[in-house]
Amino acid sequence: MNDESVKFGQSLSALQSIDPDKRQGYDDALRGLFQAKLSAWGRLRYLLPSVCGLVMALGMSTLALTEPSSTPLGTRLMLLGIALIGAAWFVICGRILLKGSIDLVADKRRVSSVALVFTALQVVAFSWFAWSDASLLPGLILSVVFVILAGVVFITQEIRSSELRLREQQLRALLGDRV
Amino acid sequence: MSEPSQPSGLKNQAQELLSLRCKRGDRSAWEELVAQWERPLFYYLRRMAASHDEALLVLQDVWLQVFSSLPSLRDPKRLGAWLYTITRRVFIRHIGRLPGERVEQELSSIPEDEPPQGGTREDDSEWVHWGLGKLAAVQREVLVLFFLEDLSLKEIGDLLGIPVGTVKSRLNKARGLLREVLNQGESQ
Repeated sequence: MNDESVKFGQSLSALQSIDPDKRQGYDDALRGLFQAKLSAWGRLRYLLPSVCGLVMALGMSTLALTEPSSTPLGTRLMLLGIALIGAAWFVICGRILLKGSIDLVADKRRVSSVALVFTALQVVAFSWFAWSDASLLPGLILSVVFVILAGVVFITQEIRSSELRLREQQLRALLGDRV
Repeated sequence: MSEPSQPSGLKNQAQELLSLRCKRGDRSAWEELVAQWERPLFYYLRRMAASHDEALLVLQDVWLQVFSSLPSLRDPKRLGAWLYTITRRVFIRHIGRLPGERVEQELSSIPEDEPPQGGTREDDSEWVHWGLGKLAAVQREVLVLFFLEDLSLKEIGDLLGIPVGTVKSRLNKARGLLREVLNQGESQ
C-alpha cells in the first residue's frame, strides 16, 4: 500500500466518525476498561483481606517481638515475614477501597504479586518446620514439588517477557525519533 | 489514524512496538492504540451495522475483547489484521449471524444521501463513501477492508474465512458494482 492509498483510507474513515453527543458515554465506557468501579460485593471482597491483613500484621509482629528469648531466630523472622505480608494486603486492598475502583492493570498486578509471595512464604514456612519433624516429610516433598513447578512457570514467563523487552528495544532503536 | 503516513515496513514496526507496549501493560500505549484504531474500526462497523448506536456498542465490546486478548497475541506484527478479526467476530456475535446473511432491510439506516458534488469519483473518498452505502453488505465489507487497511488478499481471506481466489473475485465484482453506482450518481 502506498502513501496515497494510506491517505485515501484515512480520509475515508474520517467521513464517518462517532457522534459527538454519544462520545461521552463511549469515553466513559473505555475508561471503565482500565478503572473498574467497585460494586457492593466488590467492596466486601477487598474489605475482608484488608481487615485480615491488618490483624495479621499487628498480631504477627506483636508475637515476633514478644516471644520468649528462647524462640529461634528463624521463627521470629517467619512471623515478621507474615506480618509484612499482612501489612501489604492491608495497604493494597485499603487503597483500592479508598479509591472505590480498581486499576485493572496496576492493582491486579500488585494483588497477584502479594498472593504469589504469600503462597511462596507459606511453602517456605512449611518446609522449615518439616525439617525438624520427620512425619511432616511428605508435606515437605509436596512443598518442594510445588516450588519447582511455580519456579518453572515463573522462569518461562520471565523468558517470554525478556524476549518481548528485547524486541521492544530493537524496534525503538530501528524507529528512533519516529516513535 | 492521525500520524503521517509511513512506508509500510516502518508502519508494521511501529504497530509491532505499540502492541508490545500494550502487552507490557503500558497505559499510554493502550490510549495510543485506541486513538489510532478507533476511527477505521468504527468506519468498518458503521458500514456493517444497522445504526450508529449499534456500531458504537459493538466497538465498546471490541475494546473489551482487545483488552483481555491482546496480552496473548502471538504475532504482534499482525496487529491490524488481528484487530479486524476481533472486530468482525464481535460484530457477528452481536448480530447472531454472518454480515451477508443479514436482511438488507435492517441496514436501511445507512442514509440515502445525495451524491457529493465534484471530485473524480473513484479517487474521491466522499464519492466512494457515498457509493459504499448503495452496495450489499457482502460487497461493502470486502471493499471497506480493501480501502481502509494495509491488508493483503490472504489476510482479507483469513479474516472473512474465504479462499484468496474468492476474495479476488468478490473484490473485482464489488469494484465493478461501485463503479456503476458512481456512474449513476454522477449522472444524477
